[in-house]
Amino acid sequence: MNSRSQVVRRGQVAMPRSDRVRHVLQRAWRFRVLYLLLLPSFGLLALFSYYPVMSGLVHAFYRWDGYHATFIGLENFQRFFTDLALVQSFRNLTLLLLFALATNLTVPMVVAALIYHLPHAPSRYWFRVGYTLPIVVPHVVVWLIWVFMYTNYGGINSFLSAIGLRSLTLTADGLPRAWLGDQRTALLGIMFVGFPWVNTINMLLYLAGFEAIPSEVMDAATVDGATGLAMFRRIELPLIMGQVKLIVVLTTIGVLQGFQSILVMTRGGPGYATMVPGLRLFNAAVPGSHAAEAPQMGYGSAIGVVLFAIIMAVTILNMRVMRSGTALEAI
Amino acid sequence: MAGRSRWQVIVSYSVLGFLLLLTLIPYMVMIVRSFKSLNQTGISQIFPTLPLHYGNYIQAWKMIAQFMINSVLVVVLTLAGVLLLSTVTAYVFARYDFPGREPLFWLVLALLMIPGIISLIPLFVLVASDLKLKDNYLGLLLPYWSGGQVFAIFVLRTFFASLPEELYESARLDGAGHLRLYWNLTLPLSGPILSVIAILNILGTWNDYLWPLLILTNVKMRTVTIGLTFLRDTMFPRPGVEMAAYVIASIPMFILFLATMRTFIRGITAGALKL
Repeated sequence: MNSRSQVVRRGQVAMPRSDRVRHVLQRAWRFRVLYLLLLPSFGLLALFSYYPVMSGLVHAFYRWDGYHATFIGLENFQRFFTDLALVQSFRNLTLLLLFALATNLTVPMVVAALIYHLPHAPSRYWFRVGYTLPIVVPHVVVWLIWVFMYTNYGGINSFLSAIGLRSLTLTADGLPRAWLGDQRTALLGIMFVGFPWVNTINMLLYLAGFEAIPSEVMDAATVDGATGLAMFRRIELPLIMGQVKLIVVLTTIGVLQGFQSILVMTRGGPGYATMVPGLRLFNAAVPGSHAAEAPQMGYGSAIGVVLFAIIMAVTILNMRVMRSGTALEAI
Repeated sequence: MAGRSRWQVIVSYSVLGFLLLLTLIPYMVMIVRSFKSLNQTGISQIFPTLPLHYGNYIQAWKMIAQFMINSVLVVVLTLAGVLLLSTVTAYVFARYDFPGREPLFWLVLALLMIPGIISLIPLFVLVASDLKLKDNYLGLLLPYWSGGQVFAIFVLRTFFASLPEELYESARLDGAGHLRLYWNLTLPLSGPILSVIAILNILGTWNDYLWPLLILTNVKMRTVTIGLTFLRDTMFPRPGVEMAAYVIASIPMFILFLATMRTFIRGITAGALKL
């Protein structure tokens, strides 16, 4: 294959421009069956993947109810600053992001490191299986279980009482606390979903990283007398920095786009206590119970464009990480 | 590992065991509570109470059976479409050198980097208003096919390109055409990678909540994730039945996990890279 393309390139150099165009067209015609085979994929991509992105970029500058669109320039973007829900949502987003980064980077890394260093292969395998198990439970079920646990008489309050923290389970009025129903604790409740945050995918990514460390490196370090924490800090951590950066990017992208858990658990409330930009976008497009409101697809698209811009910036900043091949090692 | 003292190993096991227990407790509570009547729920949060109420499962099944069937249907059709589209396209990209191959491939690849949030609203308008596919499974399938194939094409192209050219040469000498090279040579050699793609796709479709919520308003057409969120009856709470429904909804992926453990774990690691 490679040699064939080289021959073609050499041929092209020798030919004048018009001949070259004709030559390419002739070749294209010869391969017409291939283009036909690509058509279903590209047809779908054009309509359902590319068109919506373009439409979103354009309609961010329109008032749009899904049927009629009127150009309004930057009005949608100006509205951001007076939209209390959106302002609050960016504050919540920042807190959620910082918290998710802190937990996603540390806990799965510790678990992966401990599993990697277990002396028996079977226990390494079974711990890996054990920590992967929760992924069979649909996300919606996980969220609904946590909703259950956060109710006044739910598991969280029972647990806190059992370990002697009964005071935490009561509100100022001495009533059992409904964690997600309280302005002050709702966002905290969202953050604690998934405690102790051994995120399966991140754990597996770290584990793949540890396992990719050449055994010679580890052996040499051992000979030099490196043990325990020193080994981890000096040898292993630098060698899994690729994974760390990847997880920073994946977590950031995930949190910026994520609102489904919040939609299921609190719908952004009480008040705007758990509102995030993604959910504000969703609510703008699907007014739901406020049926009197027309859907504000343009405004939603504008929020989408801003999130898109932030995510693209994060992705491009980390392009080197993605290119370096860390991304592909895991497969 | 050599050089590790015994107590370090013991500490490792205890920490791992304790964190695993904490991770799994909510699911254990889910299973325990699924066997409880309403009165028993008040007795203990964590421990089972006798007699076990299997009846919860019968009631739960009656409520979500239709949703489960709908979900299985959507999962199977999505998977079939994604596999067909992605294998054909990846095969063409991997095994032929035709004008425009690289730019076309970049068009696919670029989609891996474009976050879905920007297209959510326009895609909803396109499918629901323009194409009038609300309450039509095509409204789910077409976007699933389109989006699902991108990552699969990316992974499969690399794999198909790594297959030795000699095999293709000799098959061509035997008179094999495009179709036979694809169906009788490429696909049979790609079993493991195809199962990774399949597991990833099945898991994604089964889990999806947002898109079915937007597209399916007809109660009978709901997929299981949507069905579950509407089970809650605040007038007559029946937590046992709800928990039983959650357990039932988890069983299909649990079976898939047991049947394909190693491939499953490989698949979700690979899937992390799908942005």
